[in-house]
Amino acid sequence: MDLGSDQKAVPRTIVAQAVSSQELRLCRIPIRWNGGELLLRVGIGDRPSEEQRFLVYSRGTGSVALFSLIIAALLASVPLWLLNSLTRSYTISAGNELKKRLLFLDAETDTYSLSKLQFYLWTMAALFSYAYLFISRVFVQGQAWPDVPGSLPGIIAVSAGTSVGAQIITTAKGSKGSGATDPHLSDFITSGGVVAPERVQMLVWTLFGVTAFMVAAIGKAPGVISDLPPIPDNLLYLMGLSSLGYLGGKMARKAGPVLNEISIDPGDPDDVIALGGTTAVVEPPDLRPAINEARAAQASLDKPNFQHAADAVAALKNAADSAAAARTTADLNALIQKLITLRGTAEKNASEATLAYSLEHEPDKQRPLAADARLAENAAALLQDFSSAVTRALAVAAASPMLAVGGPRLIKRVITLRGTNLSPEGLLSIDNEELPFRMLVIIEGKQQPDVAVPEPSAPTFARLMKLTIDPVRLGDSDRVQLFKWFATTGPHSFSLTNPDGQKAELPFSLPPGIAQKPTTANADASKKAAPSKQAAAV
Amino acid sequence: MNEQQQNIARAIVNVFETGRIRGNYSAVAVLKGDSGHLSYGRSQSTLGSGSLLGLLEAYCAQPDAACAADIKPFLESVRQKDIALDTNEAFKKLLKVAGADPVMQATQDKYFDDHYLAPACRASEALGITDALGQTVVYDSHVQGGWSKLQSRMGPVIGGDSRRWITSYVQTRADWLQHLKEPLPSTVYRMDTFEALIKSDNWDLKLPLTAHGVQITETALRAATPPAAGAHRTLILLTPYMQGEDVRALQTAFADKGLPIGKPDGFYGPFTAQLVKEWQQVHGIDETGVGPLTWKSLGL
Repeated sequence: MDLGSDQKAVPRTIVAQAVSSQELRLCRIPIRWNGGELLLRVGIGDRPSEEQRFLVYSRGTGSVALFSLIIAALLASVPLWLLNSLTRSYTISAGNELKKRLLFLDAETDTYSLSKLQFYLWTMAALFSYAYLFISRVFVQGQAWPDVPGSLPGIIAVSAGTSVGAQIITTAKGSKGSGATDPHLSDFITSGGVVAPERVQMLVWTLFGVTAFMVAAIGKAPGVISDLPPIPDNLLYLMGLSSLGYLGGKMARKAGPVLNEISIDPGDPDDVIALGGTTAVVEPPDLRPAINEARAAQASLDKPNFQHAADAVAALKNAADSAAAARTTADLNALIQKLITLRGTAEKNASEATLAYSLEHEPDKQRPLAADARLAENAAALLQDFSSAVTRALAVAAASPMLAVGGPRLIKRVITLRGTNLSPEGLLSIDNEELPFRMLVIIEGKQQPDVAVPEPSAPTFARLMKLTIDPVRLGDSDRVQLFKWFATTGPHSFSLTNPDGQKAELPFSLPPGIAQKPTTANADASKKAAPSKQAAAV
Repeated sequence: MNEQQQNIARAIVNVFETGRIRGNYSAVAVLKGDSGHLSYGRSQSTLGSGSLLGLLEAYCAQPDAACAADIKPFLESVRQKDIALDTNEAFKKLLKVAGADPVMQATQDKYFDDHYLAPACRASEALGITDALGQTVVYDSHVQGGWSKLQSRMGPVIGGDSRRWITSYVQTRADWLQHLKEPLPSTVYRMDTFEALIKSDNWDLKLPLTAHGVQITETALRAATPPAAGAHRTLILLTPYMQGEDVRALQTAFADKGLPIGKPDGFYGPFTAQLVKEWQQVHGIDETGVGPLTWKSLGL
């Protein structure tokens, strides 16, 4: 028996068992660790048979496939490692770190991209299959580096073409709807939350094609494989049709809404505004009408003859001047006390001027005293009126913030939406509760969103849309709903569903920045993805 | 609270709101910001809250409401809370005129009692607050606002000691007002008045008492009560002075008769009261203030 050139591996004894006249079973045949060529001759007596040549392989399909898988996985892990090593994070909603998933994310909509998935799956299948072929040919068969199989360019072309085509259509027509806040696996078969049959078909065909290709690749043992199996033309054709269907669906479907930013003005919740938040309207009491009236009345008064009338008029002047000088809360508090004092002074002088008049009985002397008493009475009455007007102005000015504090909170809110393809006829909701158009203020005769900036390519859509809700105009149930949304600090979610059912959702918080930290991403993504699905405040 | 105490409670809150015991039924204002928009009446019914609609509907439903026909065309806009009314001068002027109508004044009294005083009394009694002063504090919080918010912070009345609870509530509310937005801290004079009444142990609202520099007396309360239809008020010297068209008529009559009243201004102050006294002496009228005899002697 010739065991080839490696004589050292030849054992002393090979055990043979004749099973029949046609079959001989041999055991303990020495085989090199890495396999090799085995020459076998069998002899009976001194008559040896002709030499038979066998190739022995040390690695079977399982181990080579496993190696191929490891190689493919290692290669795939390189971009994942690069993404993971980014110092910047990519967060869409609070606590949901997404940078490892960026490979699959459509940066514009923050949804999983089917065309990217298809491209990666086929790339992985191609990598795996070629690794299997490479290991088999080079390390198992000891052959030269195999050429790139003829079937690979076809599948790469289909997947790359789909991916590029999808991007071109998106650029030309607009993206699909961004759907729920965070990406979800259902994004692969939905567009803006609506199931798209052509996406389902493409996903299924992709999974089938990738699986079939890989199974076919490992269907040939490593020792005998010389090339990857060709993909049947009709299957390739079918996959191409599926991709075309996917791209056609993208082309035919209207662009979906994408919400990039939501601003609430005022951004503080009701209770913060009520208790001294930063954005509520603060109006000091308007004392000007009262001051002007008092000064005009004072100017029309006669000149006093004696001290009492002079003092009463001076008190009136002092009151008007003090009110005009009041700027701060402390000034106002001091004014209120001062008015009580000045009023008392004027009333006292009016009474004393009258007493002086009543005590004088000589008509010539009584006449100026009467004029003075009347003047002092007038001044005191004007001061009382002025004091009353100040009290009234203060009560009026206090009513508005007090309503915000303790009464029904009537804070007008303006919700500004920035994004693309925002339909002013879409369904609006906050925290999954509908925001009906009847809650919006009237714009051009209708209760509807205000399209501030229309979409250039589709003027019926908006890039900037404003929703103004004035609780003053709302019925009780709508007010209750409004308070539910804006009463206290916390995270919320806004969604817009266009008439074709495509939906965009975006989280926001009151005040801004509580529920969600500003998002940053890698340099490329930060240009596109980072601003998307972020709440911000004006 | 008995009827007299309710009148005192109303007078106190009127003084807080308008500086006068009687209140200002014609007051029209536009609340700044977005909260209430147009505000009207003695205790500020507002367009935004819907209370203005309730008040005007109640007024227009009165058969003898003098301005009902003029107001009715505006009701739909009020119902729609059309904020254009904030700047509708004709409507605002109409409201001011209506405020002088005794029917409107009575409607306001009833409306504000139903919406503020009655709920305040119910809330007080639910907490076990039975003193007139305590209930007035609660009433004031209903009119000014913020009762629910603060009451929930205070918790229940413990051991039936409602005076202690009210004392604590007044202090808490004063502190709360001080920390709110401007100009709410300046309205703390309301709590100053209540603190003074608590210090003087005037839990039953015995008269006279002083609220925000205005003395409330039996006489002042009576004078603040509207006269019967077709009748004159009795004019007496009060602080603040009584005022109105009846006073102007009196002064005009004096001027016509050569008394040194000068130009009529409609305020019944000490000098006018002195002239009345002299008139009464000359004509042998024994009457306090300007009553029926004096009116008659002047041909009014």
